[in-house]
Amino acid sequence: MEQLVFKTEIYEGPLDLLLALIAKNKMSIFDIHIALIFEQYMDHLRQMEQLDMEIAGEFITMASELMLIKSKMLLPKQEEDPREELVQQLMEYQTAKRVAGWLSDREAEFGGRFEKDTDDIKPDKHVLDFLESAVLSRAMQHLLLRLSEEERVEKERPNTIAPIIKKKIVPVQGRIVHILRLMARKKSVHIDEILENVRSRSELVATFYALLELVRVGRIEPFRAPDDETGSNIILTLYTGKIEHSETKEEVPA
Amino acid sequence: MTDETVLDDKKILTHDEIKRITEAVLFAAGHPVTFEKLGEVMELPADDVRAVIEEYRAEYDASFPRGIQLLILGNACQLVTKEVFGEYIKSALGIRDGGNLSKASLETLAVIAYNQPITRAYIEQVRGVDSSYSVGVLLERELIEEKGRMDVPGRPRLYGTTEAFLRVFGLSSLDELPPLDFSEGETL
Repeated sequence: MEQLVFKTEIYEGPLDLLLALIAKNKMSIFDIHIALIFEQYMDHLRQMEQLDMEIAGEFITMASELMLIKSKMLLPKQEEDPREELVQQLMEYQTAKRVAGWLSDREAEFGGRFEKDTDDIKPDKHVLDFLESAVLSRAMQHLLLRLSEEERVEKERPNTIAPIIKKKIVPVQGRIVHILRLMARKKSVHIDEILENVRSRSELVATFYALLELVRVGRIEPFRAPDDETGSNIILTLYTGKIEHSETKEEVPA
Repeated sequence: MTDETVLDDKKILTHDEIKRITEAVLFAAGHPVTFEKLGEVMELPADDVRAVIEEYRAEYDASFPRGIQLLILGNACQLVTKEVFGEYIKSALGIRDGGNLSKASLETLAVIAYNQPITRAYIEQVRGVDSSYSVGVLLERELIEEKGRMDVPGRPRLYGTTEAFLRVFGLSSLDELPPLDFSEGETL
């Protein structure tokens, strides 16, 4: 920039600028000296250009409108005041500006009101009452016992050839997909149904972890079966509502 | 459940009970609840409920000064915190100040408030500038919402103000917007 031009005011648009010019010249909005205002308006646009400001198309449109009005004013006989439409527009905009000012004051006064989101209150479900770690570890123990029993039987069988790959790695993600797929079909599933086909410790851990993860993000909800006494009789239901902060990326397959 | 017994005795719901039920529902709901909805759950005409709640609003603070207030927002009511405690809430919850609305957004909101339902084209005609950004900001802040579409070619969206608008600007209804005076021609 070669030269410093001071212009602090930023105008919202051509109407804003016009109102400012009219006020500066102490004119009445009903009797605008178009030639003078037009000149100052163009001066301002040139200033904006010098400041490398991008001049919005609206400013150019208004310039041409002003020029049109100016030329019409030169005609000797006029049916109606060529400025009428502009005056209407300016008045409407001025009103909007005033209301905006009023709203701004109100916002400063009342903006500190806070509302609470409904989601902050959870219906008092019995879910967490019984889902203590003791209950879960009991269910886990129960399964581990079953597995080690099966492993023992497997080992004692005389003719089996020891598998080359001893430990199959089971990803938790895969189990999540598996559970969701099962649940999408049946909606409500007993926990044993999910765990009954588990064949290795790794698979069991992964499945269990998957279950906990799904409960944590609210994708499935655990309920105690009506005849439950041991604490391992858990029924899982699929949560069909919207989940806001789901961290599992899997979607329920259609 | 105790709630059910209250509802079973709906025919003898006293004003006090209506007030307490309203408070309970509003607390649990958080968002504004319409008088119609309250009437429905209490099996009472919405207008009756409204009359009781208007009475309740006056008492709400008088009987025991609180940090929360009962607001009437058009055809709904809501429990919100008092504006004077805004700063305490912000620092307690670590809320960053979202900043006040810009001049452009306030102008846009002003045009919408007085002319709703209104198209974006109309807003732009009054303001003389493109207003799509401001409309977006207001939509995001939930101060305005889409109110259907205009039945003209292109079916443009119509916008109107929300209950949040009333809350943020301290209004009970749109009737409380200041009357517009076109008569004076002087500038600001």
